[in-house]
Parts: sequence; structure tokens; C-alpha cells
Amino acid sequence: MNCFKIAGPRTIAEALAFAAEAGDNAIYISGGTDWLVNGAKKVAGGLLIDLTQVEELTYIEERADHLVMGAGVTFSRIATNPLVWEKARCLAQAAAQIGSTQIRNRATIGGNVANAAPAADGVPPLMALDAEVLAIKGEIRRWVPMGEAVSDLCGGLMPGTLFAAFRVPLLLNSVSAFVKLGSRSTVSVAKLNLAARIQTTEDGRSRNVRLAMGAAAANAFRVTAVEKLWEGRSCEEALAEELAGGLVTQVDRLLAGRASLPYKREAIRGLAYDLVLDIGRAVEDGGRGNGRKA
Amino acid sequence: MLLEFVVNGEAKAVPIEPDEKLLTVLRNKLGLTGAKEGCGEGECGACTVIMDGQAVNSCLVLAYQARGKEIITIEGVSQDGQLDELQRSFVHNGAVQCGYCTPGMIMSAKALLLRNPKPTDAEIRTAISGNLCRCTGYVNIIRAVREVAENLGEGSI
Repeated sequence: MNCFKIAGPRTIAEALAFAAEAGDNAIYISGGTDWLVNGAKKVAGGLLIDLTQVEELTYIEERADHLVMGAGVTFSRIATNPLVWEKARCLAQAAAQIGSTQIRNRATIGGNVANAAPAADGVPPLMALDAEVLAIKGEIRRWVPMGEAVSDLCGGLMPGTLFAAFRVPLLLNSVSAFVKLGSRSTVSVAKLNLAARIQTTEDGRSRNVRLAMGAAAANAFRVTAVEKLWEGRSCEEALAEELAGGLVTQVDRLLAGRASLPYKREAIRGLAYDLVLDIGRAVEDGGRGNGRKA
Repeated sequence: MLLEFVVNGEAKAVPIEPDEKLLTVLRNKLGLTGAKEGCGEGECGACTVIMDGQAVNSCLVLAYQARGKEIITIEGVSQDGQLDELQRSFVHNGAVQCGYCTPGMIMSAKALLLRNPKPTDAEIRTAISGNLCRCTGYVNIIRAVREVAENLGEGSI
């Protein structure tokens, strides 16, 4: 490993003070499960700011019309929190499938987003849920839409930024789901992942559809062309087949010439079915708020 | 810097470097060699220890992050020279072959039973899904954990 200094703030204010002092040489880590594998070289000679003991980053609450959680919440907590299952079902489903029990006990939602891995399982659910992240740098605090945050992270535009919290708007009559495919059933990096959120009309049709895909490009993104196919439809096999076709078109475009294309264009079809049928079941269960526990 | 934490019930103060991992401190500075470095990246679970009641990969925890924490390693589960129930059950059920994964496997099972004394088979499988065993095929491991759970009164582990 490399030589660096380390700081352990107990509050967000202390963390920001450490970052201000170190300037461009500071890097935040949370659980560190990704960072310890391949990130250590990025802080050579600098200051590592360990956020794991900042209690202000570890809440999950319903506030007015949002579900809000600190960026330091672990995936174990997300995967076992009834409020998240009720209000942001796809995020709880993703959390339950990330890594192993040991990794979920350490890895956090903030770290998962900040690490900006193309296959990060936490990102498509947050995008599908229209979530925003509270980004703090120096005196500037602002809620950034997930799409913007992810593309800025991939472009290296958010150095020294502290992610403090995520908020998910709560919508009536809405449900969401997450599905992924990896090389084994657990402890598996996604080869593809999908998350969707819909609102339902009184006659069971979908509206206000959000669909996000990960592991097919440098970062997860909303698949707006396929969202349009979903609008006004009920969640049945006929819709799954149509969405599968739309997603294959996306995969063909993104992965042209890649060795993984033949596999992924078949895989995405299966995921489309899993996603639509899971959301269909959740709708039948009478999903309210942002979905209910499966 | 000095890492102050509790290991197997004893308060410790150990000089550490900023880039040191919890696993290397346990093994090289405290002589607790039960936890193993298999893969070094959280895939195999051979380094599993319990930190504040939760199973963690000690290869993916910076030693500094363990400040103020309570750690239990495989060396801490036996009491008064007697094997823990889980250890006895692993032996009795033939759940140990080469033994490399065993300390991590037992710590994952221990963390599960501390939190959930009556787990289902699915919960046992989830709890050890981050622990690779290349000898036993897992059947006897799951049987060993189940047997302890069946014999436990709630909260007695």
C-alpha cells in the first residue's frame, strides 16, 4: 500500500474541516470495501477521511414527502429496514443482493455511489426512484439529481465532495423493483442490472415510468426510449416481451463489437421479464407509497 | 498512531500504520492467526471476525476503522478451555476437512446465531454465502449450524 495520513471525524462539520485543511489531497471513504481492494493508490501522500464513525450519516427517516437516509447507512440496514421496503422497494431488493453478509455489514449507499463503478447495484434503484444526493463541498450544499451526480462522478467532476444523504420522493400508487444477473447467486458483480418504478392508474396502467440500467456502459443511465414503451401499459408478459426488444436494441448499440454482446443481449431479455413480472406482482399486492415488501 | 479496541474481551492498545488492515493487526501484532488471508478482497470469507456483533471481512476493514470497537475472533469463542457449541458441532458433523475456511465459517455462523438464534436454512445459507469452502460441499456445515440452533434456548449463545 501507499503512505498516507488518516483522520476519523465524528461529525460532518469535522469531516469538512479535515477536507478543507488537506485541499485537493483529501479523499473520503465510508465502509471502504471497494476502496481497500483497488483504491488505495489514489490517496498516496494525501489524507484519507474515514466517515464510518460519523453518526449523523446513519439515519433512515420519512420526512414530509421524502424518504431520507444518511449516506453512511450500510446495505445490511437498508436490506432489513421496513420503511425502505415500503417506500423504496427496489433499493431494498438491490441492497439484499449486494456482496455477502460481511460486505453488506460494512458497505454503504454513499460509498457505492461515490465509487462510481459501472455495475454498482445501488445506482439504478436511486435513478429509477428519482432520488437526489446531498453533495457538500466547502460552503456549498446542494441536492443533486442522481443522473447528474453519476455522470459528474464518472467525469471526475466531484473531487473532495462529501455525500451526506439521499432523498427519494414518495409518490402515491407507486411500486418499484430491481433485478440483476451475475455469475453466481451471491457475492457477485452484476453483469447487468435493472431498476424500475411506476405509478399505477385506477385501471392498473403504468404512468410516470422510470427505468435505469447498469453494467452496460461507463455508468448506469435511464433508458428513456424503453420507458416510453411502458407508459400506459399494464405489467404483463406482452409488455415484458416488448421491453425486452427495446432493451436488446440498447445493448446492441452500447456493446457493439464487445465479446460480451451475445451473452448480454440474451441476458437482458430475461431480466426484462423478471422486472415486469415482479412489478406486476407488487401491483397486485396493492403497492402504495413507493412499493411494498415482496 | 495507537489503535485502542477490545479483542476477545480484553482492552488492547496497538501501534498501527494508517494503511494497515484489521486482519494484519490481528495476525501479526496480536498473534491471533485463526483468521486467514485467502483472497484479500472480500470474496472468500476466511478472514471473517465479529465487529460490534456483526460479521465483517477483516481484510476489508482498515485497522483504524476498528477504533473503539469490540472484536471477537475464533480464538475468543471457546470459554475456559472448552470448545464453543458451534465448534463442537462442526467437529461432530464432519463440517471440517482441510480447515482453512473453518474459523471464518464459524464466525459467520456465530454472528448469525447472536442475532437470530432460530434461523431457517435459507438464513443460514445467506449468512455463510460470503464464506467459500472447497472441501465439504457445505451440506455438513449447514447441518452443524442447524443442530446448534435447534439445541439453543433463545439468547443463550
